[in-house]
Amino acid sequence: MLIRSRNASDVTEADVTPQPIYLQRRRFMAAAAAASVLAACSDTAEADNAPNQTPADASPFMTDETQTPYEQATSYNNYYEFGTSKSDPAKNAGSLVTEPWTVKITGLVNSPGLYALDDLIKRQTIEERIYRLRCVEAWSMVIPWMGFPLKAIVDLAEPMGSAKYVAFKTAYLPDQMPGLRYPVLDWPYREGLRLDEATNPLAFMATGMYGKDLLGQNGAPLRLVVPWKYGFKSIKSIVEIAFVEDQPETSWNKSAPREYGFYSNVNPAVSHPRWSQATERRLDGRSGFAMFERQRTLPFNGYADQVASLYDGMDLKRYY
Amino acid sequence: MALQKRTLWKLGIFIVMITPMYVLISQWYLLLNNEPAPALGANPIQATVLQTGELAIRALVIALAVSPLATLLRKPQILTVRRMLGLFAFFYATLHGLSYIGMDQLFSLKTLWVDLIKRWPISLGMLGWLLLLPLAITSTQAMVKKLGAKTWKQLHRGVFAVAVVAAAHNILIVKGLQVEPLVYAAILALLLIYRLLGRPRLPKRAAA
Repeated sequence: MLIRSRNASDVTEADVTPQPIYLQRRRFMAAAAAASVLAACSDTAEADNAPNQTPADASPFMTDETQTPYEQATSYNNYYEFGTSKSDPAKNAGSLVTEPWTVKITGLVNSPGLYALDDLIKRQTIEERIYRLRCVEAWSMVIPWMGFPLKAIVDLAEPMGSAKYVAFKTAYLPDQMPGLRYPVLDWPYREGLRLDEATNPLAFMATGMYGKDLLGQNGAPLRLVVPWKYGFKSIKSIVEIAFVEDQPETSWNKSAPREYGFYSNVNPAVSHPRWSQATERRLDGRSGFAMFERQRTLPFNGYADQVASLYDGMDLKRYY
Repeated sequence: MALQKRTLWKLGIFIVMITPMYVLISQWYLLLNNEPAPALGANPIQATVLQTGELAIRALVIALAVSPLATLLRKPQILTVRRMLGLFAFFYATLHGLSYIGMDQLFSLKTLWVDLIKRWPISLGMLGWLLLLPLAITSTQAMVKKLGAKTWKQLHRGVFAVAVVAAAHNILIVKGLQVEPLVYAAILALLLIYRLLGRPRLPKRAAA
């Protein structure tokens, strides 16, 4: 049954660049140019930096801060489907079978489909992104991801004009995920983005990190990475991507709406009700007394130049 | 010989209870000498805060289980380790608070103040420690004599208030609805119920 009536050449509302992004195109280019100049003299610039400051990134896609050691990034994880302690996912996620893996693209799209992950990845050029990851628990890491922009999936799906949000779902595999026995959250894990957030160049789908395939504890075989939001927004082991009209329900927001908003942009000015978000502990393999240092958390995790305009006119204390 | 056996028994429990502390110190010694400390993982400060909290509530559960156990097993000599276990609960609770305030928050008075007035899952933890403090101070034999056995006993029933506060702190401080804090709360509730059910014996004793 074919009910598609529009021509391939028709431009939908969703294809048009949103005005805020269009308006900041010059700013983006200027920032990129400034960044490349900065990168050229980054040696001297960095030497002057107090430990409390985040060094200027060479590119928004590639921070040059010290990377978290692979062993730490693969042994200290929040993935409650595999247990609630930080070491549980590394212990238990070995049981996750990621081949074969299918991703369902559904909802208000012109090209819905059930994709074998390999087919989905084959169409993409895999690139590297070195992003800061800021957990809502006030620790942070720097991780080199491999993958492709989320926008590639949006383009593939061809959302209709009525689609305003993207809703993601994590696999629900009770045989392989021992944590699902407990009602820690309302399973399966769900997350969501506004469509314009999803098409922002920073929003990324990772299939690997540190030059290797993702491990189960890091969200194999396909996970989201939205570096300007708290880590729990970067949903792991994705099996469904739905384009919807209304703001989708998300797991943490449902569990504790006062603590975890739908947007959950990194924001030092909005404290979590149980702890401050003003500072963070960077987990980058540092040793000795440097471990005790905390650094200031930056608005949008230091990606304000790229994403702040998405929220123009919004009260971010209300829409936390 | 009997005395010796009891001393050995006490020493054994002391060693079991202090071992986690030894592990913590030795792991931190490694860390500060730039060596890996696997038991503390990637975030040793968070791990220390969590582990000491866990040890405190475990010690509290064990300490509260002593007297029901002594009754059930008809072995009153078990009671002699109760004070030590209670003091271990206080010891680990103190380390828990100190590691949070000192290691994690770098003695930020501002954070401490905001925690106290705005973040009540943390305030509850502070309250639990404050309630435990007079019990630890009056734990000596001399204090029992000074206060009189009856007053001392009444004061030390306060440990059940500590149990309620500690269980609530534990449930509320974690993210999501986690199982472990509920298990501790359930055990503490059982011990509390056991005590309350055992109450009817009191008037009889008072009448006698």
